[in-house]
Amino acid sequence: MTSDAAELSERLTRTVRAVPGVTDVYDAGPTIARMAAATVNAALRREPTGLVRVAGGSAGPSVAVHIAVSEAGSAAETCRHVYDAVLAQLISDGYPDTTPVKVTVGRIS
Amino acid sequence: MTNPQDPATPASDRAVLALEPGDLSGHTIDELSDYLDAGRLPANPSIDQSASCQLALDALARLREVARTLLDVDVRNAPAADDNWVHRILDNIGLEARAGRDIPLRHPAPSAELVLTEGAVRGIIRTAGDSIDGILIGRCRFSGDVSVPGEPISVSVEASAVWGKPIMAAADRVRQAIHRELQTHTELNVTDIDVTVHDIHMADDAEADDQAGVR
Repeated sequence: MTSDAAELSERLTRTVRAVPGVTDVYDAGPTIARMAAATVNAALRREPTGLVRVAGGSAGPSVAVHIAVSEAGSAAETCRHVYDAVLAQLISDGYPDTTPVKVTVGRIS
Repeated sequence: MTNPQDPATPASDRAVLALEPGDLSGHTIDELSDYLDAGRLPANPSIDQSASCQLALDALARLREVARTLLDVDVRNAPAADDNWVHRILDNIGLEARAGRDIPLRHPAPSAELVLTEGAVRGIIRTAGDSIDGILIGRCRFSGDVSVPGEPISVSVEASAVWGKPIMAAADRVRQAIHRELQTHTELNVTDIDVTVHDIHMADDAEADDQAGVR
């Protein structure tokens, strides 16, 4: 991940955490990369910050978000709110509103 | 061909087929159980940062709470009590906590891809069922393609129940609770919910007496 992508990932992670109903943000990277990152973060005793995956491509970035949500509200609605918040942040950062964004709810509790 | 990822795979086959490392972020149900025993300390980020591990821990914690009571009663009432039901539930927790298929959610933007994991939805089904007094959910299965919007979906759950509880009424409450949760959180087109009670466990006499008034 480039430094621009890493900074965008950190901004988007903060954005996602701020959405009501989101209880956790998981690393959206591939399994092996997730496990490696978790190990490094544990060894360095640091909190993970850039958990939203930002992948670069010739057509522009794509974004993947993996979250846990509260069962107190509708998981589907929270998921849509997360997408809206991520898209608003991307537009604010100058990215097109057609940027592909995948939001995955992995846990409802 | 037998597919360990397919919940329809017979339990006897699943038992001899290892889960992929990614299913529980490289962890096993035994490791998660030990982690629970240790009070989730020292913190393990690869578990704490994994949705599937957290789902499995949720289910293990509920199972442990109910099983402690039931096993105590089983031991008092029947020294040779069969605890295979616990192992069956543990097997299913491991299999069902994996992310599984993506279950889509609607959004008007073509660049939006919004999904619930199959594991997350199984998790709310298990939680809804376990919330009914005297019931513990074992296996949960979908019939129909949950990855296709609008596809008719049947939900089948297998449960353990405590002897002395009104089973039909409990099964109805399980069905209603699952329906309510699926309506709240998903856009699945659920056509029916089947609840099958496979295991009955003895409640102690005092509790059974307490329940006598509602039977």
